[in-house]
Amino acid sequence: MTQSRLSLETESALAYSVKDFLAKMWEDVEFNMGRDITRFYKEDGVFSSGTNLLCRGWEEIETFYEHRRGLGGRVSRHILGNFRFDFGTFAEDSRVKVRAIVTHYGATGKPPFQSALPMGIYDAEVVVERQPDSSWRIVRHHGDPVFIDFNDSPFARIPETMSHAARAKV
Amino acid sequence: MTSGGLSLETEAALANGLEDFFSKMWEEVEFNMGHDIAKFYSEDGSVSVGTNMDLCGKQAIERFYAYRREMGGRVSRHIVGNYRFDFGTFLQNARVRVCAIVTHYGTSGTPPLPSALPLGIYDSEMIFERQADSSWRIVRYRGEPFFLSADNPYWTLPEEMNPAAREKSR
Repeated sequence: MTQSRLSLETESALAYSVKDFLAKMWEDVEFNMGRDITRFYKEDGVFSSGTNLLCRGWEEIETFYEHRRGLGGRVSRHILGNFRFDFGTFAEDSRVKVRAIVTHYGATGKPPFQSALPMGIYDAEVVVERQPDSSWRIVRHHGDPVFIDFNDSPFARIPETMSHAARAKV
Repeated sequence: MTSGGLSLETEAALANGLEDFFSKMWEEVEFNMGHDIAKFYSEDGSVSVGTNMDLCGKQAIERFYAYRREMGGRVSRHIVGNYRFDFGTFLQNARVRVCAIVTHYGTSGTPPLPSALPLGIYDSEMIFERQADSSWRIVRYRGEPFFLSADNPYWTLPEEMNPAAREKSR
């Protein structure tokens, strides 16, 4: 039995399922331009990054991905690694806290692109919640940038209205 | 029960086995120069990357790795992330479709070598087949380049491995 009182087999199965779910969330962003992004979040789910991006709830998350599609021809890959799982509250609230490192590459146009530095490397913390039908939804997804390509910052194209900083000013 | 008709624990165990198998295939490439690469592929297994590499069957795959050894002192690491599994047909044909992102670093010489950009980042799609003895074989491996470096040997493959070059010489 683990600290969370789940069997190791159960923890392992849940961890596999959460990794697959998060990779498929990014697959929707990379290959479907985030058109179905809301099915990965709870209705009041929050997506934020650093101090420059804050989307609260489906509508704001959709608005962000609409904005991104409007930029025209954006292409990205968000590569996940170093997963760390905390099942401490799973038996009580069906939630798992996941930490990971996300390496973000991006460009505009049609692949293949000339190899380039990552636009960002983020410490990510995601809280996911298991639903009655065994699917997952994101409750909270935050990325804290460790490295940023300041010549091509991923935050440069985010409208102020979507940022924490702008909201703090109001 | 998952959409593949398997228990989550069974899917997780198979997924873990597949990740281990695929990492060991790359271990064979990185640390044994692909001398035993054939044992990872089915008899008619195929490898294709972008428009410049197409290998059909074990013999062609072995010839590619023999060619790579002859280049002398090649060193590479293929780092795999964002696994996404599709067990939809596993109960019918013992096959699993897997998508992942492969980040490929490489050069010639003796490590440690200077840090450098990836030679390539590939959207990868694999079909794996479970054998009667529970081992896995790759039926198909397809890489679609997202990033490519001018130093990638991909650009100078011999004509018999390169459908784009064959097309040009017609």
